[in-house]
Amino acid sequence: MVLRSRFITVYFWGTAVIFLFFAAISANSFAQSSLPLPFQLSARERNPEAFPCQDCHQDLPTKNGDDKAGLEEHTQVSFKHGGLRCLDCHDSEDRDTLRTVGQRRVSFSNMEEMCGGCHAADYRDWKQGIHGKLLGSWNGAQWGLRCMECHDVHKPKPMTLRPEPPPHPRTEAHRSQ
Amino acid sequence: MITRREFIEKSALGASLLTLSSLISGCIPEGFFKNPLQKMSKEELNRTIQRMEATYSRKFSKEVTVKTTPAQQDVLFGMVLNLSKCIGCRRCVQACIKENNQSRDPQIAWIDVLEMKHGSMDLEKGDRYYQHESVPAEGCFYLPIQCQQCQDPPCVKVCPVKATWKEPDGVIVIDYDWCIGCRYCLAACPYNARKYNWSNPSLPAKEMNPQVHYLGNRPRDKGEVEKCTFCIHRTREGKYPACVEACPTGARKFGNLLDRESVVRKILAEKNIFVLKPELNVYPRFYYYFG
Amino acid sequence: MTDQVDKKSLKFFPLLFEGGIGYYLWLSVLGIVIASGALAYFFQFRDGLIITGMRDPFPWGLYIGNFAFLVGIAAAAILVLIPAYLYHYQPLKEVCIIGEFLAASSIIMCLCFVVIDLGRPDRWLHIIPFIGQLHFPQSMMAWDCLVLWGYLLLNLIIPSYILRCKYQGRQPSTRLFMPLVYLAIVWAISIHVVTAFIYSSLSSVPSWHQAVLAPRFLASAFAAGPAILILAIQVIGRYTRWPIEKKALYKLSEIMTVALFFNLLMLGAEIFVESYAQSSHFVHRQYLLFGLHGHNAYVGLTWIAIAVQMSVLVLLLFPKLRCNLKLLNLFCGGIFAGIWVEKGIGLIALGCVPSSIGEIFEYHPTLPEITITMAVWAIGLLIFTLLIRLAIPIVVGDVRVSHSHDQSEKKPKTEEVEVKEDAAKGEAAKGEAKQEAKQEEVKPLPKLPQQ
Repeated sequence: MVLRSRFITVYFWGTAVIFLFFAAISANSFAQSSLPLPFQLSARERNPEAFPCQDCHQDLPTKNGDDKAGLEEHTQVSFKHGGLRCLDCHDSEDRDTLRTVGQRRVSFSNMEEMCGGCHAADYRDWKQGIHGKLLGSWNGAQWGLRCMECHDVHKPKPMTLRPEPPPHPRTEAHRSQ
Repeated sequence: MITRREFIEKSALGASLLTLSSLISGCIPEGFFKNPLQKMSKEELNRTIQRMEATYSRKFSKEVTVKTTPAQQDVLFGMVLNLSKCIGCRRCVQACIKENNQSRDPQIAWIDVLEMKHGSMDLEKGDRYYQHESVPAEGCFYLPIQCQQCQDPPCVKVCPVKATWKEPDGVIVIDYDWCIGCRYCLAACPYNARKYNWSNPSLPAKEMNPQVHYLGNRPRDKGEVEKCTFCIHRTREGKYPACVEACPTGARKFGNLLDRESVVRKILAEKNIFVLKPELNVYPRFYYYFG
Repeated sequence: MTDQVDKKSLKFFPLLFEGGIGYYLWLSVLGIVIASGALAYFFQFRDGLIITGMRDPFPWGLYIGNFAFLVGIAAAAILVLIPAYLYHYQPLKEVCIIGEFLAASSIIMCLCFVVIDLGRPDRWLHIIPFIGQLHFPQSMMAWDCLVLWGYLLLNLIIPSYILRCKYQGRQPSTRLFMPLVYLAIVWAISIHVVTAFIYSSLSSVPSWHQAVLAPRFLASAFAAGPAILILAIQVIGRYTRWPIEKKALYKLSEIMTVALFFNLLMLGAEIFVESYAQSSHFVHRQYLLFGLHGHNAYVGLTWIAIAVQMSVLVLLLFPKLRCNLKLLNLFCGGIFAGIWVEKGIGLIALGCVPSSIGEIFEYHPTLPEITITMAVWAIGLLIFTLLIRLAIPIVVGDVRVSHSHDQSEKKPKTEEVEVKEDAAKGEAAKGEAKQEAKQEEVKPLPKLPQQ
């Protein structure tokens, strides 16, 4: 009788501890993902009314497996993003949304959650304001930029610019006269 | 015993000397005997500011305001630069020149960008005069250098007239009107960050930035030393320095080192940051990392 | 014997105009150089230091190089004081005043060089203590300001006092004079050490940031100082009636030899240390000795300067050569020029190559810069000439308070002396009682021999 009640007590408390443990872990990850960003984002939304992709695609067959698929039609897109294919990011069923690595749908205005699936280090830095540009004031309201506001998501490449002119070489006199 | 003749001669000499000296002192412009900023009374400072605003407004044909915004409490500025992101476009150099009223001819630039080859941090192998069609060039990285706002600044130690000092928010400033132009601080700076007006600076009126600070970007004169002040006229009002805003890749980050939530503190905590010439123990507040 | 006494009144100003053709020619040459320098300086004052060859990476050049060299020459005056007054070496006592006046002229040249190097000399009030804001004790330049002015005063007071004592025909008062001598000796070493500290305290310039800089400065000063002093003494001995003993020259040449040895020893140690390890500190010495990335304008000059010094040192070790005055003059010229090139130009003016961010520029002084430098040297030579000119009559004994009843050299108690000391600053005879002025018969000054 005593042995049985002791077993029940241990079983009960053990389960409770394990449950609380997992609850704590998931609560922590929930808390982290829901920490507010130290900057605001602009209210830019990809406007589905302007470009309702699903209007066409709901009737079209899904061509999967071919990385050239869709490029003949979408001639404005130049595509070279590692070994990716179109449907690795675009959702195969709803072209008005994107898809994370974990098959979760995200909207275009939260695309950084998708990009961060592969570019986790940059995403982590971006969330703290370390990656990318911050506008505004250092002790007040700040604005951050979304991934596609700096990077061409289909063909990302390092930025190159024509440099401004160099300083005057010191071997010559400075004066233009 | 002095004779009457000698007395008359001597007093005539004394009187004429007195007249001459008062005439000369009348010709000396007001402000010749003014105190350094640290010793000015409030009234003298106000008079000086008014005189300065009038002079600049007249010279540049626009309304110029000279601010004397003090340092904010509990603020220590720091800047971090991501060397992996800098592409050497020199947009920061140009933005700084325009924002801080630097002389166009002879050209003064407070920021020097060195083009370095991969594999070496030897500054001697850096090239400041690179010129390409597009940057970044193959096999190179870029190292912008400006005043490092050291915590133990060697330039402050050597100035014979105390014309340069460290402000409470960490910025090293110069009282341009007190500087005698001996250039000891130029020799003392390990980063070549201090620049000298070897001749009368030329600043076209329409390019002049009329929002100036007494210790920051007000127009300088011949024979005075100048350098980066972290855009003291902007940062003390909460704005970013011009170089940070101009950087197209977001390589530069700026903030308050005493604020744990600031971006610069987060970078210092997480990234592998370093400073230039750490062996000199000047403790720069300009940090670099490859990230 | 009567109580009437002869008295000479010493009018200094007319004395400056008494001299032969050589004297006037010398003054004219100096005047022309000074005038052209003044013109060049007018342009520098108007347009800024851009007319020189200096730029941001090497903020100091010819002016400060000469300044550092001349502080050394000034410090070398003690090499005359120490044997003369501590060891009572009589031959050097005669030429003590020449050394002191050389030091005073050098200090004036140094102060001129500093002023012309300033970007804003109109703000000179800023460096005066209490009127401006002297950053003492942190800034080495502030220390240098104070010690240089103090040394100038000492080097005007001490010879003035000696001359006054000579004029009055008595020995200097030990109680008053010897403390001043001790002070001058210590002060002389300190001016050059403080000047060396201006450079060696900078961690940003590795070629200066070394402990050996201060001792090397002293050694090179004590080699170059006697060199110019030997030449100056001979010129004065030749063209005036100043009593010069050859022993003085020999003693000075011995001191010069020892100092030159130490200078070369320290230079050699410096070169060895840097070239053996070949760390980045070697870059500056490499630039001077071998050139760097195609910049080799000063390589020949550096090697010549070092070679001249070394060969002169070897030759000076032979007493026969050292005591041959013609050869000695040649050696002195060589040492002076060699140390000027190696220390003034190579170490100081070119010290900032490469710059603190590693850039290599070739510094070339411009013509206005060279003109102004020569003008400052001319100012120093002019002041030296005038001071010696004023001292000659007293030293040779033409002008002296003479006692008709007592020919021994005792301290006069009843005669008065009417002396216009507008050239010799500072009343050295503070301990003496003030004496009443009386009208006396004035004897005309003797004419000096025509040259």
